Amino acid sequence: MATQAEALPAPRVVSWWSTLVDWLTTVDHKKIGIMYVAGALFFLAVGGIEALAIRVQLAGPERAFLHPQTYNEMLTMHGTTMIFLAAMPILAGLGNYFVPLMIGARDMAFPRLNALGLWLFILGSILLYLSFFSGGAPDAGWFAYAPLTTKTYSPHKGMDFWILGLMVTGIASIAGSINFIVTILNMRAPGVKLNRMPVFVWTMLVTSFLIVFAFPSLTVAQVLLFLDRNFGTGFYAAEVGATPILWQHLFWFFGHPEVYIVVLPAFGMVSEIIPVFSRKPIFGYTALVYATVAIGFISFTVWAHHMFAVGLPPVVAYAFGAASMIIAVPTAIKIFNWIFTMWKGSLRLTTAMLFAISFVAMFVIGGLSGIMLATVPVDWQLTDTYFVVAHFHYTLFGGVLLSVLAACYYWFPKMFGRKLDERWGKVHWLLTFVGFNLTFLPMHWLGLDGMPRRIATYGAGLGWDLLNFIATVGAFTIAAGTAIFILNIVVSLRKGEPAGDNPWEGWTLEWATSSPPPAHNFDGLPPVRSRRPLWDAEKKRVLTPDEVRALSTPDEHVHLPPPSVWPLVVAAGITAIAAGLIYTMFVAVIGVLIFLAGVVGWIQQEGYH
Amino acid sequence: MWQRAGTWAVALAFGLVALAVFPAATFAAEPPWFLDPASEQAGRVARLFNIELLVAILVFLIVEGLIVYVVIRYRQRGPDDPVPEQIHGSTAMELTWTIGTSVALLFVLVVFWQTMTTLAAPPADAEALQVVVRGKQWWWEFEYPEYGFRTANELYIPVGQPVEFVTESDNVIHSFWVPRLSGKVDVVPGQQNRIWFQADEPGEYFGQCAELCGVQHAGMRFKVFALPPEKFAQWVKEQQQPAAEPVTDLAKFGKELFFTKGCAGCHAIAGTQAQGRIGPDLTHFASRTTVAAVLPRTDGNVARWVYNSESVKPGNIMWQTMKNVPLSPEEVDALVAYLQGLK
Repeated sequence: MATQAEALPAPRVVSWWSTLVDWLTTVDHKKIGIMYVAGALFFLAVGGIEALAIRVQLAGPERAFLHPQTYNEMLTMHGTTMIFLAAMPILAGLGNYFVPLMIGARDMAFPRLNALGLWLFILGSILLYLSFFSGGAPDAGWFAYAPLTTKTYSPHKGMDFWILGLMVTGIASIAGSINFIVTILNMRAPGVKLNRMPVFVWTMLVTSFLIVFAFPSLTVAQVLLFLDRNFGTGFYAAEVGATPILWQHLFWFFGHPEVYIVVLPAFGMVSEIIPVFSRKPIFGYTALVYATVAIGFISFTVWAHHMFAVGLPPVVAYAFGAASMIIAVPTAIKIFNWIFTMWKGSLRLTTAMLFAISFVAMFVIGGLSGIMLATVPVDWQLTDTYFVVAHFHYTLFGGVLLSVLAACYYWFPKMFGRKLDERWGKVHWLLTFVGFNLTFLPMHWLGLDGMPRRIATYGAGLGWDLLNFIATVGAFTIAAGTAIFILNIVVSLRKGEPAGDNPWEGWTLEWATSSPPPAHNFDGLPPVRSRRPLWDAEKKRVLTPDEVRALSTPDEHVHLPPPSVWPLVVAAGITAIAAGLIYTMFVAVIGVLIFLAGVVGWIQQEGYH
Repeated sequence: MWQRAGTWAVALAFGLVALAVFPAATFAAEPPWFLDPASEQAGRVARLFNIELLVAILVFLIVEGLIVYVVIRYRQRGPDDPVPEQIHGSTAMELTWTIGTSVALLFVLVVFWQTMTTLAAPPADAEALQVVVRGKQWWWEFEYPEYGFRTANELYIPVGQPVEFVTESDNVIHSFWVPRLSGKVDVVPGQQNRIWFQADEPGEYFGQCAELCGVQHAGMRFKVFALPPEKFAQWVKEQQQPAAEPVTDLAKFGKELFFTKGCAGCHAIAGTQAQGRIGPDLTHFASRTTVAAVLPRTDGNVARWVYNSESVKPGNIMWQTMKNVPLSPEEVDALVAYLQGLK
């Protein structure tokens, strides 16, 4: 990362080797954030290609593009990839980059733990994908219902890769979350009180708590499944008196909070973007924050709404349905607050803003279909149909992805010093918005028409052909938009319009430094006396970069942690242990040795000095 | 410049989607649309859905209308537009939409509870027919305990009588679903789930497994035939008969092959030595409309299934078991002749 050119001239000749070493050993939250985002975008593309394969297979009835076994692997890896390898790390990455900047900190609280999280994410993802070359990918759905996942019904090693790959990335998520919690609670600059934190920081805080409480449930479920598969236990085996429903409780106790884990930071990002491009402060900050916290709590009380058809007693089912519906209240509060942030504003319809507004408009649809699915008898009809596929894509694609794309256009100038091209951005937005609705709107009708999810093909004459074909056309429209997005990134990195410190007239602290920020983030911070530190209430405008600099007190005591290779070593050790549990114990033993070497090195290295 | 481009892009986007999706939904052929219910139970759920749909459309119009209005009305028209008034919020408005949303939800919760209670159990005064539904990989077994026979992939029920289904699985989780007659019930190993409904109109209904259950999940379809009581009684009587004996020489050879080639290891045919329980009961195979639940039961399709079931349902268990037991074309013809005689 280039620092301020005048003060610290960057070396002109940098060998690729030293660059590589620099990135592999970095503990800079910004570089780590960039690598998280890059990795997540890569897996977003991979998951997207899997989705295209699914859509080609379903474009017409009785097609044989994919063998049904391959189809099951595709649908499993599509879901798993999008949730664990795309959505979560992209949010972790943007959070990593911007949370410290937004609270005026120099770095995350635990820089090396941060690096460990990154490497575990990357190595765990690679481990998961190695399954394709080791006899077959996981094939029992991302929800992995036992007993379909047991050795009897999924004999190849795919599910073991799923279990251990996700455990490795799970460690990354928990490590990252603890880091976020400590950073947000302890490292805020003077004046950044809790009730002045940007909404995005609040959502990252709540999400981090959700991860810390929800992921252990998944890990327990996976450990039991691993034992069932490899050591002959019967935690999920009906034939020895256990019940496979146990898996569903453990999984969804994680799985439903997981939905909010990925969607809350998305809420946070649009809560930053919409005000800036409306040139108005966020409407109802306090209500938004309370709604976020409320959603966090309620999200732990609704998991059984994924299980209405498994034979729950009616009163229990009703209670879970009612709890699920209650989530609509804080969600509605958020939606109205976003709309009234725009009310009487002066809306600059940049690409980022178009994506953010589309997010609000599309998320409403996902919310409404969610209420329908919360009413148990309707759920009995619609669960496991394409109506559900439509529903959660309106929340995850319409919710998470659209706001992530908004954030990419919004924050790219800060991260790389250049803007993404706005004209190509608009084309990207148009193709994505149209493609998204072409793909997922028809799926509501398909669900009502009786088309179940996860079927590798369907018979002709059921009335599903045309809607499926439209959905496939939509998927390729999205793909075209994504191709433009990737090109836009590649070209804009080199030739984009220079951004300056604050291209969008933003008012949170990340705009108070250069683009990209120096390694130490800030030369000095302006005083923080409100939720919008860069907003001048008297002049009714955002401070110019020069005004910000004039107001800032330079900080003479900059201490940055030294780079460290040990997080990478520890991550490699953990991943080798996981791989060894799948292949052969010999690799696991080597993994333990690498892990121990890494820990020893880590302890002996000095941190801050 | 970019403001105008943005506005046009929004209009274009909505227009394109509306053009493509709505006509397609309208002109779709006759699907197993659950909003066209054929049982009172499915009817109540459809009614609940329609009420929710009305509420949802109302909310949709209000919210999306607001968004569209705000975007058009308050878009920036030029770089010199004045800085808008800096409004930070309004407690009254927060209360308005919090209470408004809560009231709408309360209304839905009440209708939801009413529907829940009416679906709980079959009426005490009507005698329910019991059918045991077994999810297999990847086919359905339907057993009629009071009549003493089993059938596969085609479920017959009487019109106007409640039918209670008891689900069982000795393998993975499946889900039993006939959209126009009833919502789903999962078929879970180690537990018996129950569901009931009463068909109001005679007819043929589409059913399918709705829980991912392995490689042939998509092939796990079934049909439900709702018959008037007297026709149903007639069907029961036919199904209770032992299997028909083969008449032609070819069919007799087919029967012999059925035992020598190992078919009887998995399939049962009442009145013969074949008592296998792994595959479908074939006693009245030729009374069914399909072979393997996905093909019409023509001689050609039966031959295709017997000769190369992998080409019909890749990954099916019969193929995995029998692929090393080759059949000559003559043997296939003989087996087809025998099976097609099992009226």
